[in-house]
Amino acid sequence: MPKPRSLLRLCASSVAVVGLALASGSSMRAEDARTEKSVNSNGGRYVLHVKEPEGGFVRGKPLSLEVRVTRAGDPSATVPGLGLVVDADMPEHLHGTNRVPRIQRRADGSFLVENLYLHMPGWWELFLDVVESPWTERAQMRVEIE
Amino acid sequence: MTLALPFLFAALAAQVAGAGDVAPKAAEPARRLVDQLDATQVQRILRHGPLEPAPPDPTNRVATSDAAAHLGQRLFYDTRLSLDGNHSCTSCHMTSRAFADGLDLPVPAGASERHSPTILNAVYQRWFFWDGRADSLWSQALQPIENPRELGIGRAGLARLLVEDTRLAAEYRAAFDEAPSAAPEDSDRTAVNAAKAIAAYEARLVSADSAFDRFAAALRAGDLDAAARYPEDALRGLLLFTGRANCRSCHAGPLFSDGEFHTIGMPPKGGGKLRDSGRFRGIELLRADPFRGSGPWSDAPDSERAREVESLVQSPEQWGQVRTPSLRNVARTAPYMSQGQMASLRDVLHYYSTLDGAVAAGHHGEQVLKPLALSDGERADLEAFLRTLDGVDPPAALMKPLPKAR
Ligand code: HEC
Ligand code: HEC
Repeated sequence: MPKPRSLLRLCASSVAVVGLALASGSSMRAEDARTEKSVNSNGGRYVLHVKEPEGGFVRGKPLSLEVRVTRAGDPSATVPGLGLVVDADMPEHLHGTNRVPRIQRRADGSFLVENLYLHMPGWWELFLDVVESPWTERAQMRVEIE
Repeated sequence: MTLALPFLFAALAAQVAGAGDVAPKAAEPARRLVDQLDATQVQRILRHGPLEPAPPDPTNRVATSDAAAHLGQRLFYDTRLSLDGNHSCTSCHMTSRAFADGLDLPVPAGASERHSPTILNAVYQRWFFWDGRADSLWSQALQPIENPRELGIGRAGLARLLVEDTRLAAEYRAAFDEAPSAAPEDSDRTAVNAAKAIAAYEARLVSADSAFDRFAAALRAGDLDAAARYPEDALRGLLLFTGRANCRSCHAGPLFSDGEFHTIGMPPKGGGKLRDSGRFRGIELLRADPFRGSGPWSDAPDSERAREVESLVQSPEQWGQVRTPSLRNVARTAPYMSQGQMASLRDVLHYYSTLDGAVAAGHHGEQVLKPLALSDGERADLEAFLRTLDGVDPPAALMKPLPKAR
């Protein structure tokens, strides 16, 4: 049987990632290693640019996200003066988080979300509600916690 | 070869080439099962270990002090902490019973509504008691001292004991660089320090290195021969635990507890509806506790850890929720559940299999569990797995009262 070298490397690297995640979140030093995702709000008014936590979404640790909101069709300019409400639920279990996330609006109009705490493995739905008075428009993203 | 785990290689290769081509050399069934683990299974197993050193508790400045742990050990076994002079912490947290008491509900002074949990590995918890109403080991320890249904000597009584007993006084001085005082304005300080010493002792009551830990370590190291020494039925049980039975969704991480609060619909002792308000009231009690981490007696009231209490959500769905117990040493700590309702692991697994008699916590309650309809074999496998979580006891010197004379 030929040795599938690439497979070997593939699983070696996936183990390395597991190993890093186990080393209590000290993984990935370089800032740009964080994944950024774009999420359209449910009503189509906004695009949310969500910088995921360092080391990704992991269970049982306070997580930090950065969220920048732009108008649909104009991805360059952060919309000023907005509010943001963040919550998370496990739709399959009918319960939410046990801790309230802290949200800070920064000078450049983006948001720093801290203390997002997902205590169980499984499917979490993250709700990011953009408040631009008098409207509130929801964006949501699915997060899988191992 | 650095990181590559041969079995992962084998498992992936098997998917590509067909299992027949990579039939394992070793014929034993455990080895075959180990060889067949896929990457997700391995990843999930490795999330349950190793048990690393517990996170520091900045709210207790003597949490790691030898002198304080010494005093704490002295106090833990001292029956003078009880009103009747017959009980100490170890009456309900017995060294011979993995620091639990083997009873459904504790007898001293009677009428406790909750089962005594083990305090082995309690230092890893974030919230203490079944309802999480204490946020440190030291604030926890003050409660039985205060409670007349448990020990009941009270803070003032404890301060007097520390002043009057010359050896305790000397050991207190060694730990805190000051003399104990029972003056009314000082006795709280003396008692809180004593509780911090008890916490320093409890922090050393760690038990790991179970058969499961050795298996996980072997797996992590890619040593399949060592991994295959893990009993085959336990491995099947572990794969159920992390797979179809989904026990890991609450019994998560190296402690086999997510440290959070859930209801599994366990019928209360004596029948009827749910009476224990659990976490719902636990949060209120914690917020009102003058000895909480963010309170005036804390050594780091502004620390991140102390301030976690401020971000806790309180909601009706928490009615009746209790903290997920750790499953380490579980085979040694029967009976089970927050009122000791279940006599054996067999009973527990029967319950998860059928959810017989389950009570509803309310229409807001979380819904995680479904009857698992486990076969007899699956239950036996799960039990075999749970029995591999017995760890090694702490050093013998910590497992008994300190000698009287020094
Ligand atoms: C009368 C029996 C009794 C005595 C005496 C007693 N305890 Fe307990 N202990 C319990 C019970 C019952 C609980 C759970 C109570 C609850 O959750 O409301 C408990 C809980 C605990 C916990 C929490 C463990 C966890 O995982 O959250 C710790 C730690 C503890 N006790 C330590 C002590 C110490 C230290 C002393 C002595 C100062 C002591 N206990 C005396 C019965 C007792
Ligand atoms: C929804 C979260 C959840 C899931 C899923 C879950 N448990 Fe539990 N488990 C708990 C809670 C909470 C308790 C304590 C309940 C009580 O005292 O009322 C508990 C208690 C136990 C106990 C008793 C421990 C003790 O010291 O008293 C055992 C053993 C146990 N579970 C094993 C399992 C197994 C095996 C599975 C999978 C078949 C499982 N659990 C699934 C939350 C969960």
